[in-house]
Amino acid sequence: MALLSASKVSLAFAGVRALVDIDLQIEKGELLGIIGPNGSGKSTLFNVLSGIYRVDQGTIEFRGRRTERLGIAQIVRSGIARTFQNKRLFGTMSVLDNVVVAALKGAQGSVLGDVLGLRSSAKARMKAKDTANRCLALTGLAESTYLLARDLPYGAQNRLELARALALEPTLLLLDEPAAGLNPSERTALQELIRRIHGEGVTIALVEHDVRMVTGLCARAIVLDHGEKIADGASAMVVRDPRVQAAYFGEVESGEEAHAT
Amino acid sequence: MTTSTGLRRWWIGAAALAALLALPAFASQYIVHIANFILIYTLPVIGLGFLTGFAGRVSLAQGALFGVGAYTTALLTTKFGWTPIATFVPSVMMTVVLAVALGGAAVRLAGLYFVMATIGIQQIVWIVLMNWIDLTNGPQGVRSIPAIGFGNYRLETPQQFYFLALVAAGISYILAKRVIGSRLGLYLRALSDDQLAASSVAVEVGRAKVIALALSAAWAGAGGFLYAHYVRFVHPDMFGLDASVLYLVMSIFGGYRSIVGMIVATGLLESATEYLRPFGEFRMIAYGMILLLGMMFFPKGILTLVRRRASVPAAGKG
Repeated sequence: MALLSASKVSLAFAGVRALVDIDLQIEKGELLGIIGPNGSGKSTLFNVLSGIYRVDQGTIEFRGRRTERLGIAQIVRSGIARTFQNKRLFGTMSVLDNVVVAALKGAQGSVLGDVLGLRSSAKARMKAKDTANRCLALTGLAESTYLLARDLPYGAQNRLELARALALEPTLLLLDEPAAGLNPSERTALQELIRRIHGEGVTIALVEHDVRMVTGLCARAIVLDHGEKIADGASAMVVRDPRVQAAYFGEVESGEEAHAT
Repeated sequence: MTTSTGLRRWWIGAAALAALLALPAFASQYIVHIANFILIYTLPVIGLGFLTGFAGRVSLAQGALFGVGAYTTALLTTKFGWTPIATFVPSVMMTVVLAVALGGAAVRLAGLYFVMATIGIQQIVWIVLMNWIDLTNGPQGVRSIPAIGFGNYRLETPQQFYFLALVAAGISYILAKRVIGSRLGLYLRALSDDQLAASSVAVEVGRAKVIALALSAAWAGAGGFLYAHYVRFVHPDMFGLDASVLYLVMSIFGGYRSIVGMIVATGLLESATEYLRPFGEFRMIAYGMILLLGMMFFPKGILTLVRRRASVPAAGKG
């Protein structure tokens, strides 16, 4: 059975169809690419999978459990973590604290336990700190631990988003245009990093505008256009599909049109 | 943080503590009296700091919650004959329960709606205190509240009360530091920076905000308890909207997310209202000017006067 399976998922905003009858299976251990022109519904799909938007219709099953009505934090705890296209870091907190928050996975323990300094509390926090440090090392941020997140250069903020998502120890990781705004060498480094994370057994879905990055990283890709899934298959084949060519490269000439949807 | 600034901090702390302990020995009764008010007010101000500084939620009901704590103990001791000490826990509980019942849903709302809701709560409490005459004596207030006593020793004069207020403020300070260093403190800072991102790292933001509200009410209730047994008279007008505004100003004026800053601001602003008495009817104008200039020149809080804040990672302290 697929790790995640969405069936007939639809969502409209004020009558505008953002997602139309999307069927999607993500298999365990996969690195799936999601491509499509601007406004085609890629980020909307992620927002639905992570519980930020509620579907109008359809079902989503993750590890055999229905998730389409769960809250955001519940979905995260069930094993889906994500990054945001427009970075959403905790700017006034240190780089380490940004990741520690995630590594705690919302465990409240008891406030009283923390205030009284109980051993179980200290243990949980030490464990979270270890996880956080490991994720920072993996993403090359070990040197920046005590800087404020907002003081990091752009490329490093990008990696901090990734480190924070990794600290949640997800089964499925949703990456929303992680390469946006990066220079070519940063891009290559990011690709390496994604490969490494995937190599450690994390299933990944990658939304990316850059077709070459997707064909380079992902064995399989799906293509969205106007909220519909218009192709699904081996990424090298998918990008050659005439409908994909029309939707994708047509967009370059008529970007206005794609935006209007 | 380098050891030298750590050491400096320790010296400043030790000197401040020594000065506070010695105060009643050399200060006049009047000064000690003002000091008692300052120490008592640090409680509602620090409590409000959890909500405003850490969770990013502005509340204008802290005066009312302070009043709930004060009235609970005032009524339990005068009408039901409880000994003062026994009413401490009920006063705090009452304040917390009322705050969560009235504000628990609103605190989950966006910031501005929450402010509106807290003004509503503030007014409801004041109206109830003023008009439920059978229970609260209404506009007559509650008189002859007993002093706190330990055995035969009763804390009646400012000097006698001072050490209780100092210990209470000290405990409140230490507990507050531990709360903001806790996992909850981390979650509150995260959600005030970016609520969606906080949810996306599994923080239950609604629950965290309700707990912050409950804690801020607990501190207000404890402060109200002290106030009632120090002044030994309570009246609804002591706990009106202007009191709420004052606590809010004190909790912001000291500095963003700085407990010491909140305490210093409480001290400065409370003593300013006293030292400005010679200005007569211009007192509040002078007070307003102090606030205005303070916020203009030290927008990050008056503590920037004495130190440049280095960011200390909360989680780094284990």
